[in-house]
Amino acid sequence: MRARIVVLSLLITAALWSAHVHAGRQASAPPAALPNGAGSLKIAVLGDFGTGSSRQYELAAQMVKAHQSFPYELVVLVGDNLYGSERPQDFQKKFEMPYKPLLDAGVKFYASLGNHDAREQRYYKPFNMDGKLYYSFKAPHQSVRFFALESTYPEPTQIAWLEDELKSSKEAWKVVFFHHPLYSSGERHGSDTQLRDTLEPLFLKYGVSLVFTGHDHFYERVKPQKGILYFVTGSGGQLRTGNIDKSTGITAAGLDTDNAFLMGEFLGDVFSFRAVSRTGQAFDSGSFTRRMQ
Amino acid sequence: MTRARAAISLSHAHGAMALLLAVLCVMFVAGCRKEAPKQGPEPANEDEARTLEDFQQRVNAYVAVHKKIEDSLPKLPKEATPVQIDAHQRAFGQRIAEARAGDKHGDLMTPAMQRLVRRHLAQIFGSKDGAALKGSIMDENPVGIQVTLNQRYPDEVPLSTMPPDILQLLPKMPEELEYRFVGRSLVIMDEHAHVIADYVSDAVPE
Repeated sequence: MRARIVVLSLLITAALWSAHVHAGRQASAPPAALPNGAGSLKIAVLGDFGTGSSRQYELAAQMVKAHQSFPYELVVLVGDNLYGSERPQDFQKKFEMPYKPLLDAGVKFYASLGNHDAREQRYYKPFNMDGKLYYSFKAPHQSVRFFALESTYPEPTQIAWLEDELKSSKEAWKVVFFHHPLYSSGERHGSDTQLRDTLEPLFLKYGVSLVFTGHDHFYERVKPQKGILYFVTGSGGQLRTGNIDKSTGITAAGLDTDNAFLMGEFLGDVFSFRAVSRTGQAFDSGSFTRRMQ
Repeated sequence: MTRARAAISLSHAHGAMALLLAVLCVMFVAGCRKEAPKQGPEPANEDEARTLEDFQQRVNAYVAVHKKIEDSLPKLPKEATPVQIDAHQRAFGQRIAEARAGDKHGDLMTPAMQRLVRRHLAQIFGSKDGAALKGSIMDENPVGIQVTLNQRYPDEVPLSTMPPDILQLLPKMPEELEYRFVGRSLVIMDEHAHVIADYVSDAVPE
């Protein structure tokens, strides 16, 4: 009788273990829930990635995997695209090799420059900057316009350009991306309040709904600030473990224990997002309706 | 007054009015633009004002040399390969080094200017935000790297963070030059040629 109980216990334990492992596998499969709808604009967001490290390559592999079920057409880069040397071989090791399957599939990368990036990167064809430090482009689907800024040296001429561009933009979604976060719970860097004083009034005045940044080496979705949704996606290759200061009160979701990238989808007035870690965990997801002016 | 002369006078009056309106429009538009905060240190006395003015003239002279060389080099295409970018940078750097072969450390950033910069940086690094600023600058910025004039910016050193609070203290640079930290030295980097135009050693306190 005792032997039967032991066997039964072992069987139950094995069944539970199996279920646990199965659930774990499901969680680690690259997720593509979002709406994943026809005609939507599908993107990925990545920052602080160009290290050439195994972490960068492992996260890149997750991006490739995700692209199979969620075929995003473009990747927004929020800066620190190459760390350290920027010789031809570095462009290969820190960018072309890890993302080769995406580049081969025709995914376009749109870069902004971080504090560690040489300005000559603006001439690098796969970054699609057209030789400019700051630029804007209309997305191929949906009513979306992206504005890439150079936030290390935000000269008055750039700010004037941004105001003119935002004012003349007719798209429903105005999405701005650059390196230094206006809102961040990073203990290392945190919110760039000086830049915020300059940019936020323009964002509010001209209907910006969504802002992607990096610099702090973690993922953070900030609670909407004055109606604008901010993401910090600075762990594409770098990682600063335990650096999110939870006492700021602005964090809606965060991950500072693993690298991550963000998948996003624009469909009408709704932006859906899903953040994925280096191990394939979808640890944050949701949707956001754009600001109406 | 003949009708023709009267017409000419009227035409002049209209022209003057149009010119006045145009000037007023330009003034109005300029006034609407948000005034950017002034960048650079406030001189404490006349000596410092002269030092800053002298520095500005030296920067202008450097930029003139830079532009002359840049104009003589083949232009980088807007969509370049890394090999093209690298080759252009190195050729540019070589030409800058040749053109400045007789220059020495302190010719651009004069000793008086170096003292002024160190003093202002010491103030901000000694403030309540100083430790955080230093942490941000020294992040991924190796110490012990020696910098020399006209040397290529060390390939192995990531370009350092330049916090806005620090930039606000330093005289504004033209598009051709930028400030960076290599270890504890503040360098002026020719960003197109990727060479060190001059530097202030021990700019960041230990």
